[in-house]
Amino acid sequence: MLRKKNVVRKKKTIGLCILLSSVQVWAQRSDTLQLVTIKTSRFTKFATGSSQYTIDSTLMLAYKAQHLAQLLAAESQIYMRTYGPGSLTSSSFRGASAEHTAVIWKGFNLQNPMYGQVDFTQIPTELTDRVTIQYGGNGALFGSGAIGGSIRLESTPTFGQPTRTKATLLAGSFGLQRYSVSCDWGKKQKRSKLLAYHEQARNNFTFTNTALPGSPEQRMQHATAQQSGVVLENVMQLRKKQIVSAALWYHQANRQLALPMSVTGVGGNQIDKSLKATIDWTKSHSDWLLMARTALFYDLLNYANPVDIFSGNSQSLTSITEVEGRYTLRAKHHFNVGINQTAIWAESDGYGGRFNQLRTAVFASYKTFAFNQKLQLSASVREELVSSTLTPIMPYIGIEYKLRWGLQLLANANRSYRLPTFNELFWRTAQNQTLLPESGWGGELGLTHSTPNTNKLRIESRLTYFERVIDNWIVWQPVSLGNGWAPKNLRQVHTKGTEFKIAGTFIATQSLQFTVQSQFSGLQSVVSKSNLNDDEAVGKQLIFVPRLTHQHRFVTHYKRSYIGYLHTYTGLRFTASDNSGWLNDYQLGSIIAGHKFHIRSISFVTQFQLNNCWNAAYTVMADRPMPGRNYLITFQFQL
Amino acid sequence: MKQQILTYLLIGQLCWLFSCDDKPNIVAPVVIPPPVKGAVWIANEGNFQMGNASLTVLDLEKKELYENVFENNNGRKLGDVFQSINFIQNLAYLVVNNSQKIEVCDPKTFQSVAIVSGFTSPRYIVQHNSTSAFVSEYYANAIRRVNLSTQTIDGTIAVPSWIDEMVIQNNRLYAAGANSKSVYIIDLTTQELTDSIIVGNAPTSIVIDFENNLWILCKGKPELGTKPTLHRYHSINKTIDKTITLNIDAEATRLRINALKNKLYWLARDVYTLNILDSNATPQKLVDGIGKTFYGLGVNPKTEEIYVSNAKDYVQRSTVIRYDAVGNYLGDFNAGLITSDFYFYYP
Repeated sequence: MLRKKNVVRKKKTIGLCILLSSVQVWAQRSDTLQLVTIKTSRFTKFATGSSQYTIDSTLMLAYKAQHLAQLLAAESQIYMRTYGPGSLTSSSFRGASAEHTAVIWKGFNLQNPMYGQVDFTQIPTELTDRVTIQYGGNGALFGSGAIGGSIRLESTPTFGQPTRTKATLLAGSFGLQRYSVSCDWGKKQKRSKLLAYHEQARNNFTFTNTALPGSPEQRMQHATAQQSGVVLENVMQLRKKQIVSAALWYHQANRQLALPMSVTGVGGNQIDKSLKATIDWTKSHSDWLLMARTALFYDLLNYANPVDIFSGNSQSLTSITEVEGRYTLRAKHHFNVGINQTAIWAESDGYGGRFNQLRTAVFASYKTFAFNQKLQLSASVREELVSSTLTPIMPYIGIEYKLRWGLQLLANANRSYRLPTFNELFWRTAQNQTLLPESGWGGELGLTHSTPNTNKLRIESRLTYFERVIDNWIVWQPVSLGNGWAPKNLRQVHTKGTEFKIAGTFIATQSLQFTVQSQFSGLQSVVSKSNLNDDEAVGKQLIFVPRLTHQHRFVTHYKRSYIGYLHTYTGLRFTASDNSGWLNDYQLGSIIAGHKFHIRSISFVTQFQLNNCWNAAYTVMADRPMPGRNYLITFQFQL
Repeated sequence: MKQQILTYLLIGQLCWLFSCDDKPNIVAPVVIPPPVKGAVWIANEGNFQMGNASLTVLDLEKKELYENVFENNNGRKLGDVFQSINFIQNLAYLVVNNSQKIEVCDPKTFQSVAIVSGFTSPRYIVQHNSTSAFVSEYYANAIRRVNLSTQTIDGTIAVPSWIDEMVIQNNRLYAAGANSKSVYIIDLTTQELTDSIIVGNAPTSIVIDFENNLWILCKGKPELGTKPTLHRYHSINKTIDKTITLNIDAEATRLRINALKNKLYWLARDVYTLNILDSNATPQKLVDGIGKTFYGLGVNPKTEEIYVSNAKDYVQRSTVIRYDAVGNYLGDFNAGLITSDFYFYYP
């Protein structure tokens, strides 16, 4: 309680200027709500021994009205593979592939069942209050797809708070405009939130086309993108210790697909539409908790190109139902068991029909404390039945131990897997293939350090070593010479690496604060075995996986203003599996400055962001130019 | 304590603020001398939409291999999906499919002297006479006529299918209608579609034999249970007088012929051959492709050596394997990504 009072006192003294701080002073506010504390998801509670990092609401404010793609590229050690502004942006997490990142919203995985990925340009940051990144595989807690790591989009209901209405306007280079409005209202036991957003951008930046004679300056063509959506959330406390929440999210995007530098002609157009509905019910007691949740996700993708034979439609419907019970024995032993049933229907012109799949999974977790709460130990297990075939048992065991001097030791061993996607199973040319899930073992050892909250100078750091071996790595190969391709379990991939993060905040005076944060990741993700004869990829780094990345953030807050500089380095990425071709490394800098002020009861935030301030010429993916220096101006007001 | 922490912070920042990834050893660009006695020009498709197509040249006299020849001699990348090579009037025509262009190169300097543009998706080029050539298209049911003096497209012939390989004989252009069951015949005097030959499913390659007969290879559609077929079109009778159904469950493509025009080679997961001198001969497997991903095929018209590319996972450099006419292994070397075509150039 004393700690909470300290937090509140700090809040008053430092004011609202800690907009970019990574030190999670404010995150503790959510603990004050008993129900929310009880309802801590199993992903958080039983992930003992895993490196986790929460980008809280204060830091996310700087990326309001942007996408998760920009937020994660700047603030995490996840490498974001982008084909350009507005284009597909997927993730590579700890050297894994784009299908190996689980993205959890309302307790459900957002990975598309057809292609297994999440396009992070299609998730607005306004969808969530905070983002928690869990590094490393954990098939036991998250199920299929969490090989590289997981991203959780979390929100906290604001029971009892006054009605808040926010409007955000964003304008930027290359015709970028974004408008969003949200309203959060309700009573003590009921809360509703409505968010509506619209964005459009021409993305017609200039670049040097090195593929043409004389390397002329060109303007990007056929890259217009627009997206819009609406989110409605309701949370209600029923009687005592029961809570029901429901969410509805409709999103649609219409994009012109820009062509690479060396390709001329007409690009395609893509339309994405999705409707996601979830309901969650929780009943709590002093020592037990019962949870049931269900979701229905509809996703449509329409790709059209006047000259492309691959034009076509695909759509999927996913129904997920999960029941989970938790029991606490003498506040020391925590048990969690549950069952998940997922039914997927999908059809695509590429499949030539409609296919379905039924998955049933059971999972269980246990957590205990010892040595006066210094030691935490958790173990989890999951088993899944997929269309009458059992997947391998997924265990997880993790340990955390508080040492002296603010040091804490973390360790875990885990197994993770990824079920083949519908495209991999049911593409016309792939339907006769026998395909196994990718699966393997991993583990990590970490040491964290933090100085006490009371210091004017507060430092947090984390050093982690991890290792992972995944078998049956899926690679698309031609079925025979010509047009037919099909995925095959071709390789084993061995990944090992080190991550280091250090964040320091120095509170000089009541109105002046400095924040510095550096994150470093160095990894090898190499093919260790191959079923292909004479495969020169063996012993080589995976394509489009950087061996070295680091980010540095320097922010100064003065009263209600802040200015920050963000610098990122991305090492070279190979474009050929035998590492005979690569993309050069690049460094990017960006400057963010903002000011918050009040006029009567209305608060305003203005922010200016200068991206790629050194005007670096770079590509993230081969042959895809990225914009040079560009700006964003955000204006937000809140009633 | 504070001092220690500050040091910790400082070192942490400095260590990684300036750390950079080591680049692999970069091979300096090589300006190669023009081959005197002969060279193999090797087309490496590269990956679709990654702009990493390349040209490899093997100097047969010096036995030297030169990679990225176009980029090293022109200061820019070749483009996206290098489909095929042909030589016309002592100039190399490099057909770059997804860049919708043909780079015209001087084989003495390897430098681009012209770019023919305006295609939809060019595949192959064949010469008609000293002033014109014809180019097949993938994403268009059309054959383009290229003016060899101006290196521009000056005409289009509409056809009912997209076209793969073509040959010219007796003022007629025979065009393989790759998503049809026809080979289309264009009268080059009127430059109009005049007739067609009904063959198997998905014809892609055509060669002319020692009796001036046409041999047409159809890929088949293994996923639909349609086998590949090989057809002989009698040039005098104007009929298909021989059809061989290839009893294999893979698509067949890249029909090639030896210098004496009496022996056929093609790919259907393995390398197959047919001696057309013997009317009773049946296709024979020449090289087993198990564990390999055969993709490109070429036959040296002078030595009859067979060049086969193994594209492996399609994301690494291909290995080009050389065999003699009866399938004995002679050697191998690495070329670029997805080696698709060979042109044996003897100046």
